[in-house]
Amino acid sequence: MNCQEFEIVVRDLARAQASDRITSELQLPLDHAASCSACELKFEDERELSRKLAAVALVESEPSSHIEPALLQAYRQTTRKVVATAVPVFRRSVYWFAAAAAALLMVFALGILRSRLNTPKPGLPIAAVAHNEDATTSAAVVIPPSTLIRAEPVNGASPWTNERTGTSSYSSRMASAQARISSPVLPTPNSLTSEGK
Amino acid sequence: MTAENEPSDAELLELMKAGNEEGLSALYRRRSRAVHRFALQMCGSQALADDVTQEVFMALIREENNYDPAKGTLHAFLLGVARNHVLRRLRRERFYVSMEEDAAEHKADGEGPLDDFSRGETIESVRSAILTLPERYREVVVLCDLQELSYQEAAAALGCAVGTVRSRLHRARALLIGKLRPSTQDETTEVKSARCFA
Repeated sequence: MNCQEFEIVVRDLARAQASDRITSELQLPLDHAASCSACELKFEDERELSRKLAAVALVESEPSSHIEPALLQAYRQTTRKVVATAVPVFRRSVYWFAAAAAALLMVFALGILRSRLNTPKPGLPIAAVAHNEDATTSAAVVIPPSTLIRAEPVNGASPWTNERTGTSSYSSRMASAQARISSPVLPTPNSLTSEGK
Repeated sequence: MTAENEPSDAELLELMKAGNEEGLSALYRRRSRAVHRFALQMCGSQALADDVTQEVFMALIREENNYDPAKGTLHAFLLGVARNHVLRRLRRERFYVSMEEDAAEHKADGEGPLDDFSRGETIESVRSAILTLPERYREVVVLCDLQELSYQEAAAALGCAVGTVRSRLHRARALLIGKLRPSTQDETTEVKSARCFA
């Protein structure tokens, strides 16, 4: 090791010796200091400085006792502020959630309503829908309740029994209904009523 | 430094961020002394060191500076924040500090050989000599020699390269050796210009 290389490590050497942390790597610079008077003098200066600095480093200092309570107070206020600002955000999200749920509920209710309208219910008037194959549009004919047919059997009779006339012939009713539906001319409500009579 | 069953600094910080007051309290008790000592060694004023200590932990509460564990330890991070606060305060109160520097220099020059000093006097003279160093040299001496940080930790605290820390420490120690050398040896006295503001 030469003097230039020694100068690079002399601080680390002095610091290590001051704290008794001499490793095998630092033995070589120590040997050089023992053989070179200029480097030995430099090493002595550095060692002296390290000793003094170590004495200063040992001096403890305490922050004033009022700092910790002040910090905790400030911390509580900050935490409270964070909570206070977080509440409106939470409320806003609740509103959005409620609105979305309401919209979903409405869509669901509409869907149920639509499906109920399309399927005949027992005890309710049946809407007969006649399709005119020749025409581009379809027309619905509502059979008046007076002529009507109940889906549920009354006293074991056929569900197609006419309450008013007491006709219970299922096949004849079906044939006349099919004839009406397949007829190119749509039957009017009046004709249906008279037929029912 | 800390026992294995004790929570780490990062864990305490997470607790504190989660709203746990104990996290802040434990972190303060663990690190406030080092921060205070650093500030005191940098500026030499107890009141200013108290202010800086408070400001450092207030910054931590307000999350003004986001701590990144990848960049270094929380200890180094806190000292870095303290260093920024100290430098800001010193620049604001430059006139006051320059007077203190002058007084310290006169005191160091006028004293006898250090070997005859008692331990307390030695400490005081070293402190005064450190205070007379330029800020960039003072901070590396305080961090590396007084706070016993590694070069890497000091570099993280100062936000510079390890090589810069090494070279500044080399220069700082050379300056300190010169300042603490007994006055019987030949020294070139620095002539300072003075300006009258009257």
